[in-house]
Amino acid sequence: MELLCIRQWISGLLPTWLSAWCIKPVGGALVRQEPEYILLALMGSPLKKIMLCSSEKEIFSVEEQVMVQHSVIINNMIEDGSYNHEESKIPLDCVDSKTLKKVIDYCTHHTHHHNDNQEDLEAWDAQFLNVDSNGLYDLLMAANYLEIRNLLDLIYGTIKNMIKGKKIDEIRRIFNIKDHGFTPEEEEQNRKEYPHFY
Amino acid sequence: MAMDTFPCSSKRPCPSSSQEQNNARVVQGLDHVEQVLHKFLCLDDDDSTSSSPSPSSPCSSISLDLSLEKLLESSASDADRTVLIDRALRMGSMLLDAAKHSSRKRASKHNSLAWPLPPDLTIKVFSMLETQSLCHASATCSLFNKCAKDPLCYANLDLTSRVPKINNSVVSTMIQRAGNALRSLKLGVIPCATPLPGSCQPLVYTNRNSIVEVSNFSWNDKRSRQGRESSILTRSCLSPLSRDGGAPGILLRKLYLYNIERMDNASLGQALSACPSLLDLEIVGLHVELRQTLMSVSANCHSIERLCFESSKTGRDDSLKTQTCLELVDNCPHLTSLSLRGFKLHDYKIRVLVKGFQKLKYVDFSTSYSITGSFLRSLGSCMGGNLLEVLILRDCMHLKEVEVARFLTAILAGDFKFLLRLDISNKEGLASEGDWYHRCFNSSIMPVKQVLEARPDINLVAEYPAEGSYNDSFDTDMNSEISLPSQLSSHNSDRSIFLSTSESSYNSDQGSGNEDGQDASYVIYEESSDEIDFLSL
Repeated sequence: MELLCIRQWISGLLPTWLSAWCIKPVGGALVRQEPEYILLALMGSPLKKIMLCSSEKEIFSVEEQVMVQHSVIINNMIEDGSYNHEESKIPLDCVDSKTLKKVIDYCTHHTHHHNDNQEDLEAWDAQFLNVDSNGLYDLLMAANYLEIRNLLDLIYGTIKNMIKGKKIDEIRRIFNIKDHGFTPEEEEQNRKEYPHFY
Repeated sequence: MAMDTFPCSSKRPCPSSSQEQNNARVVQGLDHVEQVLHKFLCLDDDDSTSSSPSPSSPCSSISLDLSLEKLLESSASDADRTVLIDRALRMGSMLLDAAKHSSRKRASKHNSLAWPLPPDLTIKVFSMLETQSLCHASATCSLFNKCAKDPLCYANLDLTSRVPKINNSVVSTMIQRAGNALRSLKLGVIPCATPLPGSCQPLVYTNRNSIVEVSNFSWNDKRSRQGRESSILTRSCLSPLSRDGGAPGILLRKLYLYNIERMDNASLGQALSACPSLLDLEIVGLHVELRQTLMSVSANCHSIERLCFESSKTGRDDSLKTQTCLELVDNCPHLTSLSLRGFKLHDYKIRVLVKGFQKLKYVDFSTSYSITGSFLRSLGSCMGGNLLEVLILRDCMHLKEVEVARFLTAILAGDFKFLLRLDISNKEGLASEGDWYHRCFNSSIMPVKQVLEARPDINLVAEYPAEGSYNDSFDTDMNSEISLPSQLSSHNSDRSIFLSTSESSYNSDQGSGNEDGQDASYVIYEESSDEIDFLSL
């Protein structure tokens, strides 16, 4: 094995060793890291990583298991064998680096913490989505492209709650939408359809 | 812009040469019309406009006024003046339209940057909104307006309101937009603030309370409605379900109708005939006959799983026939939840229903008249009755104490293994064996405490008026025995909240607005007291 590979192998494995044997406090209870990590550490094989390439040509290395679990697109790519672990990287031209980093963050957290209780996960999700509206849209489009079901539902729910129960002017304000007035035909149609507004 | 409609340049006030020099650079490359338009629009900036009375006044509307007047005065003839004014009106309105159009275009462009989601994702978000919010979003800008017209957004229509404000055309438009994407439709007037689906108490009483209290909504007084013609639903409000070859109704799963005063048997029957896939039907406060409605259901809605009817004429609808029950059982075998509230039900007919539906789990006959509880006899041993999980017989006027005691004994003997909730409360107490008028509050024959001990999984609610010794001891027992909502099977997602909400309805004060109804119903009892002692099993 080349020196580079050994170093990579060890550096890839070290955090796994450490975390596998550490007892981490999770959600107030003391929980051991999951058995598969311990097993892998014992077996000595590095966790498989895949490379994702953002639209800005930045490369992100992620555990294969994490992305396969969440993204249907990536799962399909790996399964049908079009991805070669040694060489290739998955180009994601629709997703910029900042968004890709966040998406990876989400998937990684949810894979490693899926045993947490619901409230903790929800709190983490709420914190995760505490971004400006542009960031939110970018996340939504990235999640849509990568087909990450739970992230999609989460963001849809957030946007839906931003609209739900608000009056017309409030919706405009929240989403920075200009009131340009409708064409006379549209205006007439609106009046007919929603008489209880006017 | 047509050149020949423009006033001759010789009659226009000649702009100063300095102004032309300033604007020369700007108007390079524009053709003549655009140059003139540019000059006209820049009049506002120009302090040295000759027509302006005071040099400091920047308001161009005043100077335009005077300019036009001057122009008219210097016109040769009256005919010329007419022509000038016509042209001013036309040009003015054309300019206004053009400016509005451009303003819309610019704002649309701004909006498409502010909302970068493509239409398909926008539609996905909108399809999660409830109808009211969807309408608001739709009126926000033309991008949202277009996206909000997609059928997916109209799959679940909630057109209920606290006061009548939806009319037929709104319903029609929305149903039409949904097309065959329509899955659930809620329509009508729900007077109380938060209708609690599944909890029997509020829906029964609060509806009537509000309607009695708010004089506009007394359903006995049709004259008060005349002033509100344009904002109420008429009998044909559901006819859009049958249009377009019945496309909207074909895949409709849920239909909830509340207090639509003008709906009658024929129109409801027609609507039901358009909904063969109906799973969940809730009808509250409609002036329709129970028998005819059930016949429509058994004729058309063979997949039905939940039926919830609440009468608008409490205690006076005696239309149910045994034949209807038999047909319903035959044609709708998948029924799991049956609520018939406020009707006159007879034990032998109810027995047909409860025994006949093989999958029946949830039964609610609250505020029913005439049933004594004898339909419960030997129910536990046969297929049809034994699967019961919820049985609610709240405030049934003629429910006999002996029958309830028999039922509780059967539970103790091991029947009704799946029972999770039983409500036999009665704010009037239970009827005694001989004379229903004589009420029992303090029953030594009802083994309630034993059932609570033997079957702690059952949420047993047996509230009776304070005259008896029941209330105090029961409140404390009740609170400690309350099963968590998660323990109940949620055969209907709406049902999962009903347990927590029914806790709030434990106060015996609930029927305070009901005295009117009670007095009326006492009159009825006198007439029909003969019918009570009919059952022989």
